[in-house]
Amino acid sequence: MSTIVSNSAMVPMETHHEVQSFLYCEARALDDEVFQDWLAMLTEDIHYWMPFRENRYRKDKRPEPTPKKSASIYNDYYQDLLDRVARFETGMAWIEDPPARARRIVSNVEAQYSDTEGELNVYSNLILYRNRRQDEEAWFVARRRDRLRSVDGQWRLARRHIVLDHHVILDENISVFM
Amino acid sequence: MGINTNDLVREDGGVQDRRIYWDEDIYQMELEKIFARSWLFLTHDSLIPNPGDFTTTYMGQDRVVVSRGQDGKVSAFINSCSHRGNMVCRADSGNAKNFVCSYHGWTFGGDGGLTNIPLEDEIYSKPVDRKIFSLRQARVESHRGFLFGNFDENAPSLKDYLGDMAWYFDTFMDAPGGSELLGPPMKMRIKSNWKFFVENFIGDFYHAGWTHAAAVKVIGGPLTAVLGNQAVPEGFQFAAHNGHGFNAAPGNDEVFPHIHQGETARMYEEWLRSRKPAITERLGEARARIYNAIWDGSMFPNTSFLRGIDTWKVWQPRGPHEVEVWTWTLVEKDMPDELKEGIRHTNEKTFGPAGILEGDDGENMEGNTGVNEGFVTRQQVLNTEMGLGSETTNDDYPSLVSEPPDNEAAHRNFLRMWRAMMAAKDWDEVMASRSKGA
Repeated sequence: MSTIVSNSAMVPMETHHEVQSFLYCEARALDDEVFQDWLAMLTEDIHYWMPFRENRYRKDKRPEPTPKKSASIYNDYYQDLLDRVARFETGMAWIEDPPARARRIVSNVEAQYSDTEGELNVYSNLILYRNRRQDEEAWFVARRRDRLRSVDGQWRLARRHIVLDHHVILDENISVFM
Repeated sequence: MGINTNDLVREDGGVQDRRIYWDEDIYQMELEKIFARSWLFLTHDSLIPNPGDFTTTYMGQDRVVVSRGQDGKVSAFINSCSHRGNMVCRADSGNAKNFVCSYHGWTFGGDGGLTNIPLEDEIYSKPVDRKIFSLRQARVESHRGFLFGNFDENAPSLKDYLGDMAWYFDTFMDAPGGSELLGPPMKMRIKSNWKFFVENFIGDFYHAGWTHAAAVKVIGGPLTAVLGNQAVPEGFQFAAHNGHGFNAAPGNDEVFPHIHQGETARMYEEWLRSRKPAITERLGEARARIYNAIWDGSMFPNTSFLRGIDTWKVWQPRGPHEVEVWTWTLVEKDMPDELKEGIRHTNEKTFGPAGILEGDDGENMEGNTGVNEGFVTRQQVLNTEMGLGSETTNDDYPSLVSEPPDNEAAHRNFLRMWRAMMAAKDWDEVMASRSKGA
């Protein structure tokens, strides 16, 4: 009866290991603010999307948010991500200095074949802990639905849909990638 | 409480006691004297277009439902059941004919009227008084589709409250086709007193090139003129009646100051250029000049906007040290969909919760607020004397006009309105004190 799990869609163990390593490596690049390394892990046609989520009654039949026609926290293409990284690297982003301390925990990784040759659908959960200044703490918890593409034998992130489990954002900004 | 609020802000608005950004007593008084008596932004017609459409929001810290009745009329009422107080609506938006309390099922209509009490005939000895136990309504009035609520029966009409600000708002709200907001509002908590944000938007060109240096540099375009600590080359600051105010830095036929990038920038400029003759004809030369300006403004007490970035914000107060910022996108209704989505994207990238300018402001405002935990620190005063005495009248523009645009005339005007409302017994007294001084 389940349409969520399909054994035939699951990738073999070795591929799963590659995908998991890719996500861990990506998390480490972001934790360490090695942004150029992170950008190199993306394809240039990436869409990086985090919709804003409303509280709606279960009986509410309006369609789920889409990148167009709804509010998004991130709705970025490659150039937008380059701009965000460039801002960090101007040396004038006062609020990033001194830097925050951030740690990403990635789990619940699932990798499945997609309908496109050489591309995988990858699900993962993310807990991001950020600690800033003296004692400011923030937690962001999200599920990510990624599209990974094999480019010259390397995995690259081609699409990310971030489902953040917040309605009101409980910190003064989201100047972090998830 | 032993505080004379008139002592907290100097009469000309140029110096403030820091306790107005910190003290719980003063904050509680603000909820009563300001938020319960002012016109507060609720939503836009375009976000609740159909009968039964509703959205929930705050007026001060009062939770309210804003609902369009079957007759098309919009009501706003307290989101709290009159039986034991529980909320009657838990969704942010939707469509409903009735609002049913989840505790015992008391039911209220689209205007907050008490319509049904389960088992009333069997277990109540007499019918519950519908007049007393319907939900308290706020007055709701609209300015060109922008809906505002007010809990004070004696407050002036929205039109009189807006005063000259309506004339300025109409530069885009009364453009052919009018303006609307794209929602839903995105929400974020910031540990700042609400007033710091209102002031930051009401006329603080001064901070733009410094606070936002990194983002302005990356975005490029006309705004880089202020990068670093450069004065805004041309523009005005306006201080309108009742504490509203804004800055406008106009462009010319070649330069359109805004923050849009790439294809959105091209479409945006084309739109403004093509509309300008119609604006001139409809609204006159003076408003046509600021139609393609970049604006930052606030409407008293807690609504702000940026044109040229096209954000619309409400700073929902949540205690003296915390604010919840709600962000919509401001567009003209008859813009092509592609341009509207481009504008939404700009607004989200710059002033949404992950906005590359929004984050800069949040950090500063938290700093402004948090330091006042120090007893000695909060005995010190703060300064908004920039351009003191520059306020003057102008043949083309109503209210007080100040140059240069790097100015704090609008801050002072806001703070004088704050001072007047905090001291006034009622709206007659507010009006009397304002007509004397401002």
